[in-house]
Amino acid sequence: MSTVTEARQRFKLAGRVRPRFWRMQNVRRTVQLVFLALFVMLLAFTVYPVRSPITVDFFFRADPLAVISTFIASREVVGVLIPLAAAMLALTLVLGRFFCGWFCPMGTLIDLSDRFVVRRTRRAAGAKGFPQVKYYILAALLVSALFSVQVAYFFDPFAILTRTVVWVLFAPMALLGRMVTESPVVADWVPSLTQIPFIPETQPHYRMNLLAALLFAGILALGLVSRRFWCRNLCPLGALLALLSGWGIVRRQTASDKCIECHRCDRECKMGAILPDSHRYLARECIYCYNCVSVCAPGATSFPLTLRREGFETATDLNRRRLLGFAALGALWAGITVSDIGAKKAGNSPVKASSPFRIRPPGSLPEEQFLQKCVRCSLCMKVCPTNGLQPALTEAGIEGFWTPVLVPRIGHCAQHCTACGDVCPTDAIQPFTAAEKKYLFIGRAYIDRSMCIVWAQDKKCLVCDEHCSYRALHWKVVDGLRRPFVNEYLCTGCGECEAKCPVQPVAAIRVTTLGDLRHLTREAQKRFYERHLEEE
Amino acid sequence: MNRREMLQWLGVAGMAAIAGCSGRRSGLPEVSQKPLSTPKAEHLKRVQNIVAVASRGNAREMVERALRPLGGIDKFVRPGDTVVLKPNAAWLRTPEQAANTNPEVVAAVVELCKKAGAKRILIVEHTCDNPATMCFEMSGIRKVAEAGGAVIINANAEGMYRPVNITGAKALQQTQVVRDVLEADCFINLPVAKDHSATRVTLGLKNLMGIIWDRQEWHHLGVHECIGDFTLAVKPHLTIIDATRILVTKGPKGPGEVAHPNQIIAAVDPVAADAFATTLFGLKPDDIGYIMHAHRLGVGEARLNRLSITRV
Ligand code: SF4
Ligand code: SF4
Repeated sequence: MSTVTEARQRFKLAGRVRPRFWRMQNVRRTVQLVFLALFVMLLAFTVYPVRSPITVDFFFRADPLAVISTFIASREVVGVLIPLAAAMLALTLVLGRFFCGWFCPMGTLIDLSDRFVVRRTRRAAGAKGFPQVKYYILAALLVSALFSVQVAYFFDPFAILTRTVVWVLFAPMALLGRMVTESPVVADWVPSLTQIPFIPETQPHYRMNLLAALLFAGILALGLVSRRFWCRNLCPLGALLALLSGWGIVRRQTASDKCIECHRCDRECKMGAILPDSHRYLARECIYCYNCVSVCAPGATSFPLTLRREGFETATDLNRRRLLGFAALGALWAGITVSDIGAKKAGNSPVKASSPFRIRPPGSLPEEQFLQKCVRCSLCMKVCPTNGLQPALTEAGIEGFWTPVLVPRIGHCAQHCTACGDVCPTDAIQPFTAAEKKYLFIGRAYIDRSMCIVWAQDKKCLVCDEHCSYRALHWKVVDGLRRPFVNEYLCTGCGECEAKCPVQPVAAIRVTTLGDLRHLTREAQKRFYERHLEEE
Repeated sequence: MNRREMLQWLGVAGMAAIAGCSGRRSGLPEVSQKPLSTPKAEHLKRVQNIVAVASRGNAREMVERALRPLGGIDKFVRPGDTVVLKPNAAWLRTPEQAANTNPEVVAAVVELCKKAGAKRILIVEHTCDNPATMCFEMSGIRKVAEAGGAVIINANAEGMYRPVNITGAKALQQTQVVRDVLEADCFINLPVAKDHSATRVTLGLKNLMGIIWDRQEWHHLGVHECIGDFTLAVKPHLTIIDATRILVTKGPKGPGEVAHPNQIIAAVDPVAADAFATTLFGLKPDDIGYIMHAHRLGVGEARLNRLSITRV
């Protein structure tokens, strides 16, 4: 009898696995759903004013990849980021790559889509894929970080996920919520429903939501090739955790006396971690989902606490030349972005900008440091109550792609709001108080007199003066009409005037980066602000 | 139909609903302000040219006293009525900064309406500053609304507005107004008197810019003309101007100098109320474009010598 038919026979003999509710697989599923819910809940709590019971950037702080690459890129260790990330690393050392199977919401969503949407093929086990690639990606982005260029944002699962949820799902959800709560039926009977805190009061929209949607859909669609394709082959966070998981104390063991070699376990392994003989497995790939335990009819597989080496493979099978190749790619990427001509300093200005309209949120570090620290998680964009913070397209050069910029025509920086500084996980936006905002200069407004309806058409307006929270606008009577002027020491560049100016589609008063004083310390900015007292 | 098919259909239906609703603005029929019941309308005509000015006691006493010459709140609010109040809660400013209506005045009016048997009291505002929820918070109006059983309508969504035609207008042919205002049995305007950079002062008529959707447009068309024209279509049944403390410089948002005339001005004729209130700033009604425009349109009376000004 050939071995294949023999195996089939055994498979039949083994029969159905009797379902038991209390098995690890179900415990794991529950934990996964709980963490997914927590992730979504924290995002829901990321609205102004932030009143979350735990820090909303919890997942980013627990993400060693984001934390490490930020440390390397910025050459600076941020205290608050250490505990959770370190705990995660320590746990991985002891327990292996649990994180991916149990906690990562990205993994959970991939599992769900593999199960319900993509309807994976049963060839999963055969398609071993190319698990080394994730290490190469990790190498590339760490090397890039060495050259002070952050690219982790593009591959980090939490960054991808928050972006998708915020840019793609949040806006239509809010729209739906508003349609329901503002519909005559609901609003008449329960008017207070119109003020559900999770529904933002201005309908949010984000540029590039389609791109984010497509990228995420692509990641899920890879499930057609094999289950957890992303986690197996591409995820650099997975790679980092895999590197640390060769020493864990929870190890898969197969009792050869019980094993009937039905090969169900290696078909069922979503990571392709079980080798063809079913007794050996790739310890670095195993995410402890306990699927193999659940499908094993004779109960031959278990995960005891042990340090036994039988069947425990820790080889990574990395190709040194490729590894170096990817590292070189990372360096090249860093070189290209840093030399991005568009993001160079203009003339002898201290401000680096590829566009006069690259306005950063208040409290942001000076541009270079800002770029090194920002992980493009988009939490600040989610929390911004006016929706004015948007992902940068080209405003900050290639290097600043997807970093937050204020687009005043969409929404201004509201005077009393400190939310972006509060939620920024890496402190690229340093926390600030509402009182400090009057001298955190992020830009300055200029009146285009050829467009202003007072200057150009002799009409009454002064909407900008009406709205300026910092009294930076004032009027003087010129030719019999009150006409607006900007006081450079008081204008912070918040863009409230630009947001409210009735001239369409571009405002007659616009904020540019010329007033950006982030290269100065807060003290120095304060002294600059105080100059208006002398002028008076 | 199996589960998957059903989910797919639900998805399609949901998308269709979103698509359908996003284009809904254009098709709405025009609405106009709900007419008053005959006895109410007749009473309002009788007290048309009275301007009551109260200047003693606390906010609550002044509001009550100012309403006496006009027949008391019962003549305006009948049991079971839906009352809409339009205070100024547009700015992220505290009560002391006098950019918004004094919350004590709002509280007093809410209390009186409740006593008169109002079924629902709505406080409507399309704020200038964002986020709106914080405007209600900082102005102190959320607190008094909650305490008095009034509901805050945060009118910052276009879906809450209905188009209104304005016949006889000079500049503004049509605009969108908060639905609840149009459907109210009694609409009370509760402005705060203050300085204004563009229109010199902001009073009752100017305060109505907080119940329309596209304020920017008014600046193109001419602010004074639009404010005047608008009163042809939507008129408050009662105007109570809060002049307990007024912002005299750097209006409308401040912070600026605050004076304390400690007065409450009440009138049925919105133009008359504003005309009198200009005197608080040492001005004449003729100085304010929108008041004179409304006067010329025949909405109300701006000549102070034609009014019966009653100090109480
Ligand atoms: S808001 Fe715009 S149009 Fe109006 S005065 Fe200011 S700059 Fe000119
Ligand atoms: S002038 Fe405009 S940008 Fe400057 S502080 Fe005032 S509102 Fe903000």
